[in-house]
Amino acid sequence: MTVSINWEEIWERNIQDIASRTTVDYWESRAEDYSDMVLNSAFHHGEQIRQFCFSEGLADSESQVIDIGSGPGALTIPFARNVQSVTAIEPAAQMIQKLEENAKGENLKNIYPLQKTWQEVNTRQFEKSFDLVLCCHSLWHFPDIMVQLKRMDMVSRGYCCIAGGFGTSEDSTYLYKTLGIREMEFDQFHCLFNLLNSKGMRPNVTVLPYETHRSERSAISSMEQVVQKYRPLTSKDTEIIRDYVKSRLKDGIVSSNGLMGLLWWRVA
Amino acid sequence: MMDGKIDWEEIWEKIYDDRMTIMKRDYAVDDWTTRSQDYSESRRSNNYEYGNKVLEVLRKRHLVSSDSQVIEVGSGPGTFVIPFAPHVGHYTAVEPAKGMIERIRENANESGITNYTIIPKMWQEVDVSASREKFDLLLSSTVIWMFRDIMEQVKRMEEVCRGTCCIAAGFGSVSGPELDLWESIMGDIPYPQYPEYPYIYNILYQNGRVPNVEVISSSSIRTAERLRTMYKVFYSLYTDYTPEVEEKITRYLEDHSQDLPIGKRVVREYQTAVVWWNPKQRPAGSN
Repeated sequence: MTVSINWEEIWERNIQDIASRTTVDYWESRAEDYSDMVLNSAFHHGEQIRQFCFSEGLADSESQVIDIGSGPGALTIPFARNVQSVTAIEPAAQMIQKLEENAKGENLKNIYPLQKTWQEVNTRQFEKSFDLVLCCHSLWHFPDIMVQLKRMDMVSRGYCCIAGGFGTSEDSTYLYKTLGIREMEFDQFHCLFNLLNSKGMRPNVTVLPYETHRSERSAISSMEQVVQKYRPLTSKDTEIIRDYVKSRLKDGIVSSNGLMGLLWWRVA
Repeated sequence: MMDGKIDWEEIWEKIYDDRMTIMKRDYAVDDWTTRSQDYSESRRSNNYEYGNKVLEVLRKRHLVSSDSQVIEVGSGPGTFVIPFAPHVGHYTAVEPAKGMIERIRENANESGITNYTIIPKMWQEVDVSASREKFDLLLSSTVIWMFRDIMEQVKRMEEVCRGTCCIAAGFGSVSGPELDLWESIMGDIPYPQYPEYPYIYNILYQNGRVPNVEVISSSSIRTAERLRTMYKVFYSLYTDYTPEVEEKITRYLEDHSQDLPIGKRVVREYQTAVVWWNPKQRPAGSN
């Protein structure tokens, strides 16, 4: 018996809806709260990934890195501090603005933002141009995941590393259930793990702990905007979110811990 | 996906049962005694390349130290005993086959290794309650396909472990000439599955573990004669080992031997998933 599960189809079916709701405009409106989280967390998850990539030899001080879906620089900034250059692919103008502010704050001059979706990037222009391709918390923009992964392989001359949540976080289990938002229920990591293995790509798997810290305003805003992807915000939603954030507030900051699953491979 | 709908342990059992339906009989411990010489030759390839690569994966993550107490489930001819023992405090090898135990002793003697103990039992016979959390590292290599009750055995492994569990698992897929040989002998009967990976990952994940993986490559270099023993044991489990079957194997071995500086050998390249986890770690938010 061979177990035949069409993981590509499962991915596409589950991601299609999330991807269509998570527009560039959505990210424009998330720039403020996301940057707040990244700064309050001192770039924690990006730095965790950076340290891992250096210890495993995926990157070093000479590396040229591309960060797909850079946002305000959660990964771009920690990498730029330590590598030769980072090309940051990000379609939302407000996110690029935050990224530039964050880079300026650290006097980093080796970041090259490209205001485009990854799908709009001409990969031929960048064939084998990067030692490391990073794509963290952005894969759910790609219903045609294999097409996009092949394009990532194309621009890499070293490694590809994709990352997302591992298991369920406290937020997704409690809050979104209460609000009736189901997008967190789809286990992206698990599906991608099996999809890549079913395609013979045999990725390595590394699970890293990370923590996020954000202001009360940022926490409320991020949750409200997730709800608004699905429906107009009601006063009941606002009440649930505010109560939840208040219950977790300590010294003006909402903190949470989680795990990230990294799938990485050397490009042949 | 809503993978709560997929029961990975059930899939594991189904694959095990499907294999059994096409076997004339299951493996016996004595089969591994018969196979000990060819297995030893395979694992010794390139100076224990396979075992050394697994050691390197764990050393890089500081999961092995000079005072580590290590236990291995199914040590075979000393696949890991020889590379690991010089770098750890003490090594306990669980291995039931007499032939394999002899190979461990020979190989250890040749390498001057003395800090090991052999428990001459099947893993299922070991009293784990007597060794609760006694070991810093538990190892097992290409053995778990023998366990139909996979999580039961994994839990027993975790019970004796106070540090890290590590399973080196094969991908179990066969293609090319190996598959051609099977089809020439067995006709339409599908090639038996010995799946370990990625099934074991899915089973661990579904049971709330947090496993890491590094995929390694290694070579197996054997003489045609040694490989013939392997094939004889293997095909005897599935069909009558007739002179016609032997002839097909002989031809296959002749066709696939190559000239190396050490003489004619059959070289195989394998990929193995080294899976390790902390038995006590659970993802945030899981029960």
